Amino acid sequence: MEAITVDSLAYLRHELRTPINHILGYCELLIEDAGERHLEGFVPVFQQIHNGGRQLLELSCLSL
Amino acid sequence: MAKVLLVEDNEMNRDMLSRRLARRGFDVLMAVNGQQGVDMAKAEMPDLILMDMSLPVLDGWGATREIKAEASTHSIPLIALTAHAMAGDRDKALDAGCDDYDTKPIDLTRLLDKMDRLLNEKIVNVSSGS
Repeated sequence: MEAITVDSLAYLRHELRTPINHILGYCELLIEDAGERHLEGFVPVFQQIHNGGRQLLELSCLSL
Repeated sequence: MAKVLLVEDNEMNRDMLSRRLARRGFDVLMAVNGQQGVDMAKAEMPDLILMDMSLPVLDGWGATREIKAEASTHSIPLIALTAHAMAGDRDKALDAGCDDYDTKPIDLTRLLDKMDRLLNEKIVNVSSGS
């Protein structure tokens, strides 16, 4: 455990944020798509994925 | 239709943001590194530039300084986009000549507000200057 430095944690958090941002962004794109194509029934499911992504983002922003 | 130059090296971020902006009526041009961003700004004269800061070849800070130092592209409004929501980053972006600053993940409503404000200021400046 001693091998895990503050720097490597900061790096890991930064690296995690890029794919998390992809999940959030594409989810928002899908929510827009669903609205445009009158498929509003899918929106709550996308919203749940989005909520999960936001939680991951918050975890990645915690200072450890 | 406003022409926007998006300078972003990450393919998924580029795809995502360009599709969402195109849907709102923007004509989106894309560059994948800072040098290409500088070259396209000069060649295409976009109405606004969205600049990621962590870029290969020439980073966003350097590209912004070049764009702002060049007379032909100096007045193009530029918004810095960065993944680091770190204290001091905003000042660093504004020091490099960025007109505004936003952090990832992109909050599209917030970004569109900033874009609209800068595009409207540009129209006011052009018409009052003529």
